[in-house]
Amino acid sequence: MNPEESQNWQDLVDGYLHGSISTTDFDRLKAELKKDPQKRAYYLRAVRMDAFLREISANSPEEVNAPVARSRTKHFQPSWLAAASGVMASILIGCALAFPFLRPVASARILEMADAQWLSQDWKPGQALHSGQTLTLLSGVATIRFQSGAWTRLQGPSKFQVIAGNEGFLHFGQAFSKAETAASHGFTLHTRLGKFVDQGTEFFASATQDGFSQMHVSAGAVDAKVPGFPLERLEQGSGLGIESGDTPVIIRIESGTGTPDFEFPTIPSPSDVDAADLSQRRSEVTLLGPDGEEISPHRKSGEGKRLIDGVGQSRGDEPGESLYFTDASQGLILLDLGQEIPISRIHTYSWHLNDEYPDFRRRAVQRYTLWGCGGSRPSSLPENDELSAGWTRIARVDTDAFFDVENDPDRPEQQVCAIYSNRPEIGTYRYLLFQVNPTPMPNGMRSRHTFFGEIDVFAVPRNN
Amino acid sequence: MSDPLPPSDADFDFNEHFAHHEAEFRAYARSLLPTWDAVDEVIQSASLVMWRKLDEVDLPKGFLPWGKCVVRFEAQKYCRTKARDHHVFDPELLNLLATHLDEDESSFGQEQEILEACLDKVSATNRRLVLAPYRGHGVLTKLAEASGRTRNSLYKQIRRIRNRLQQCVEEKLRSLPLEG
Repeated sequence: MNPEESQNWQDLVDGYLHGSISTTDFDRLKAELKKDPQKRAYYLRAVRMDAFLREISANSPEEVNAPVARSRTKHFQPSWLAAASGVMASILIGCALAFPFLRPVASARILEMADAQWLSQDWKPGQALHSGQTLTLLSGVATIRFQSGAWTRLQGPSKFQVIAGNEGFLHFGQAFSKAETAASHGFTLHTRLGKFVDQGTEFFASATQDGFSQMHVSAGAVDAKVPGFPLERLEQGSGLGIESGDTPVIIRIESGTGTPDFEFPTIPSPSDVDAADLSQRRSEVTLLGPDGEEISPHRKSGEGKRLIDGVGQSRGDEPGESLYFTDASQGLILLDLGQEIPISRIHTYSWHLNDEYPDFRRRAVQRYTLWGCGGSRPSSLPENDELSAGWTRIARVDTDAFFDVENDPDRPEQQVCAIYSNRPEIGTYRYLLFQVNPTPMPNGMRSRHTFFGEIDVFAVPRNN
Repeated sequence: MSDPLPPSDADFDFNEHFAHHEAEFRAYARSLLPTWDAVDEVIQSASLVMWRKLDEVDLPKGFLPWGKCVVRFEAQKYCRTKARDHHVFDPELLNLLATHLDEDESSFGQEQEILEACLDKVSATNRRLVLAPYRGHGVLTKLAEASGRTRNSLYKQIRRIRNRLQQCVEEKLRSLPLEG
């Protein structure tokens, strides 16, 4: 380029970069960029210089005695940050603290709080939350309203991160979310193991620090997206858990119609052809105490074989057709399948509706940790670790958490839990051990145990 | 199971890598897009794509080229949707520019450091002037009013400073020892 040509080209590029170029000049710029590699190279160098200077400007305080105060809000409005992550946002927020005019648009706000104790920052109602900001609620309750109109009520202890104006991340704790505005359709709550996407709903989610996540739909529907699993559309009354580990496991909870047919939305009724069924003449049920000793069930309980007889109870208050432990005790149900079996699914059924007080359904809840082992049975019982004394933890189940039960009437009287994986089998086991937790009772009453009606174990089909 | 979600304590890689290369992604996007507002929009969608597909990348080496590729596609998408607007490049030009950018092996970070060193050598007045266009609308006008000059003459001076800075950067880059 000769000096004049170079001067003209610089004028053109500067006009474009400053946003003052005319349509005619823009067409000329495009034509020159296409045909002249030298001009293209100059243009790209100019853009890079522009980007460098912009970056330097953003990261350096304005000089004292500068003639005017800058106002870069428009240029720097970081709507794109909605997408991203903590550090990206915190960089910007850091800038915003140094330069208030850079403060980004809020993705959410604290709506209200009750007895809220925070780990570090003392959040206040009305306070803006930007994408990437994380709140750690030690105790109490705090409600966050997103830009979209969706809101999430956190129950401490919880750690929650605002991702965007319609998106959050529950690191751990409990969160009840409601998305009822048009703009909040598709509200997404992430956990470490998957995400829950609103389809016009309200739902409850919880997550433990090791990533175990649960969700229950109170109204409407939610899509659960778990990597490696088909998308699960969950309707009102359904719940889902996601258990990490070598074999990822889904725990699906449903409430039944409360009839002897044990009908559920998607999970089948009790089976008499499963691998553990009494008719196969291989399985055996034993109850163990906390030290591994063999114990008897509650004096009114049915025998162990009730769990593998292919049917559930005939009524909601039928102790003799259920298997359950003595009140206030700790116990384990050991299911010996008689041989190692590649297991595809496990279903557990419960039913309880007090005859005299229909609101009392405390024995309907299923709260257990399921362990498995193959070959010979370990001499000791599992501890709390994922792999413990020869046992493999398969799943943790707490249906009260799924159904967000606070009081008895909230608890479905008839419940089923299905445990399965995205792989053909969840494991090859001979022994299944259900470490059952009792349900705490108010006013000094002894804790109660679940009325289990049936446990079905399905083997992987031989041709699989 | 692969962890799908970057924004957690366990997912530091995305944050770290994105923050490290963010300025370069923005510069790359600006080469293809008409305004910084458009860059903001494209970086928003590109960062989402990167964030969700991080497990596809061979980290850390592959992050930058892959990230640029994502920015390029998102910029192309933006230009398609804004094709009727003023001053948006057409697909042919976008491809030409992107190809040129992808062939450029210079180090963005190193160049930026050199530029900062060069900028330290200019006078405070010139530094203030060359950064003025990024300080917000009206800043340059006020500078012009305060100094009794026209905006146009200030732009010309800014260009001269920028050209000197460019020259300084290129000289320093040439003087660097060759790698390998």
